[in-house]
Amino acid sequence: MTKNVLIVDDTRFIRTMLRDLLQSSGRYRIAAEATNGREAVDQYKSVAPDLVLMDIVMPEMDGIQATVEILREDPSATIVMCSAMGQEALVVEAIHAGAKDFILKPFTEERILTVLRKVLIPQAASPKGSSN
Amino acid sequence: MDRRKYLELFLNESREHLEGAGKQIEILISGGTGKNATLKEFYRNLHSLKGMCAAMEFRGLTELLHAMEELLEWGRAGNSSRLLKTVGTLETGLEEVGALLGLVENGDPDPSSRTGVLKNLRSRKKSRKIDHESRRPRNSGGPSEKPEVSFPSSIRVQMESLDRLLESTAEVVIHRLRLQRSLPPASGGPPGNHQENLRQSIDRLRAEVMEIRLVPFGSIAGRLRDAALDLAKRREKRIEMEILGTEISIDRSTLERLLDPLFHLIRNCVDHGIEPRQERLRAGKKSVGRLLLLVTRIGSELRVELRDDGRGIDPALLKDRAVEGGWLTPQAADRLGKEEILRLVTLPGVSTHREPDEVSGRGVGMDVVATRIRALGGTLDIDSWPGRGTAFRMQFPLTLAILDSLLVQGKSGTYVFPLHQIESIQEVPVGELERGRNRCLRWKGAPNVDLYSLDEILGVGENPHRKGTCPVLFLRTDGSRRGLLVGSILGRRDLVLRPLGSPLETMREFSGAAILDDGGIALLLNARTLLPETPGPH
Repeated sequence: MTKNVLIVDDTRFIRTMLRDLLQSSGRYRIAAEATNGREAVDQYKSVAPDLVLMDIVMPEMDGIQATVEILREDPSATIVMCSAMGQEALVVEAIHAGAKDFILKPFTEERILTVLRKVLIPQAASPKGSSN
Repeated sequence: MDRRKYLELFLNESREHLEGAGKQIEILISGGTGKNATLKEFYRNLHSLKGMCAAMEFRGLTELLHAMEELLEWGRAGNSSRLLKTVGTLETGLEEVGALLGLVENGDPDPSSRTGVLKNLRSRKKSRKIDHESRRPRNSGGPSEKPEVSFPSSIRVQMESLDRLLESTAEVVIHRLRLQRSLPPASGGPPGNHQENLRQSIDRLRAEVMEIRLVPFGSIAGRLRDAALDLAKRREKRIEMEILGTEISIDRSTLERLLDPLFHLIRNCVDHGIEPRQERLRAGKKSVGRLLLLVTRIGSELRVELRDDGRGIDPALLKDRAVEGGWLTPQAADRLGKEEILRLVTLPGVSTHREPDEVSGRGVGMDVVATRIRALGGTLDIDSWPGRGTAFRMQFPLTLAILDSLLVQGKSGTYVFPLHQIESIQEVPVGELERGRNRCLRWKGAPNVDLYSLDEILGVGENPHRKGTCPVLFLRTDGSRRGLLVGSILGRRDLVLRPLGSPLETMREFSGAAILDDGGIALLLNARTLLPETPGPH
């Protein structure tokens, strides 16, 4: 059961790295990518991914605002924050806003896959299920 | 994950962010309009760069960019003159980032800043108690200064800080356990997930804290060798000393406490083990005596072995001395096996040497060595071959602070076992147990294993189980397998250990105490010293 993922990060490099990593695991398909919070909200509406990997510091709209807006649209959205060190307070804020978990850069393959597996478990059992 | 394949993408994009940040700095310095928006963009560029460097595992660059981010925050929080100064320093920082990216492009796997930029960035951050390895950060220093001081990527931290960090970590472990006990059993859902996340995070924290306290054994090797050579010279003996396993890392405080016993054993070897040159030649040995210090890691334990090729310990003489000292009767002495005889040397005042000397003393010392090793939760074994040499073998846990343990219930209380000493646990039918000699029990399920009852060994009763089955811990100690019958098994715990202190530290059966999550105290049993040395007759 492949899960559809929306990757949100303002750097092409991080998006590429995450894309490669998730695709090579065989469990995830990249449904869309967004370079800021505004795009993330729009993309979420159009592709309805199973999971969002969300950067925090971005132009236009930051990751926390985007998390709030996505959850307003879809309270069952699964969003995982992806942040560099020094953003701990913002991570907590994002979790309060409804993000399911977080990954700190430098991320390891193991850590990312573990977190994603973990946050997707309850969803697999819910009526919403996977989209694929 | 192979990060090298992303290098080109990384370099291209990081240059874009660097350029962007450079333009923003120019605007800020020239006092252009839209200061807040520019600051925000500048911060974003720094942050993106930092995230990218972190993802590529360029620690030096990540550290530099993190310091720049922190400085920027500090500058933004102050008045405009502070901000302007900060911006000047950040401009220097950006130049350095550019230089380091150049090094990355030229193949440097993880370049770190060697100019004073990072130091200068950090000098703004006051009230840090950490000394930088090169020099203490100055609290002054203008933004345009570029002090020609090199700085390394590591920092020097006071040992006391690390001790406090360890203590706090230990407390967090206890608080978590107590919290867990006071909550209803977690069954999925958010509370259960939070508990599990907390446990995992604390485990990682604990592992990190343990890790940063480790220092290589090699850090004391020079001092040990110097002490040995220096003493040999004073004794007009010639020795060579080889130390193997210097790369093995040990908790700093364990290493510190190991130093004295090691010095003493080395002195003992040089003074009493290694013979004078003429005596060696007469015995057909090389004139240069040989000392070998071998450090090995066995699971979560450390083994330190010191060997000499000297005259060895004369067991008959040792027995006589112990009898003379009133430690045992001649009859009892005759019943002792080789290992037990050699262990007599650790009794206070027992030595094969008549003449006291200034360095090793006479007999005083080996008992102290043995006590110190026990206080580290370890054991001391002695082996000797008359005419050929002696080996002192010490084995103890790599770290004493927090132990993965099994809690068991005995008649006289709750006891702790280091999990790594337990090979397996089995429920053994009481009806199948047969009484052997010397308090030993036998079970047909493991016919070669000597079983003992914990209560009986501690002298508080017999096997508490009359019928049904009883739990038996199969212990792994120095190659031999032995079993211990316990009242019941309470479960696995992470326990914070404390040394016993005087006078309890002399008790061989226990090597520490732990505070339990209900506030009670349990003694740590040492499997190697708890059970009788020699297997009971079959």
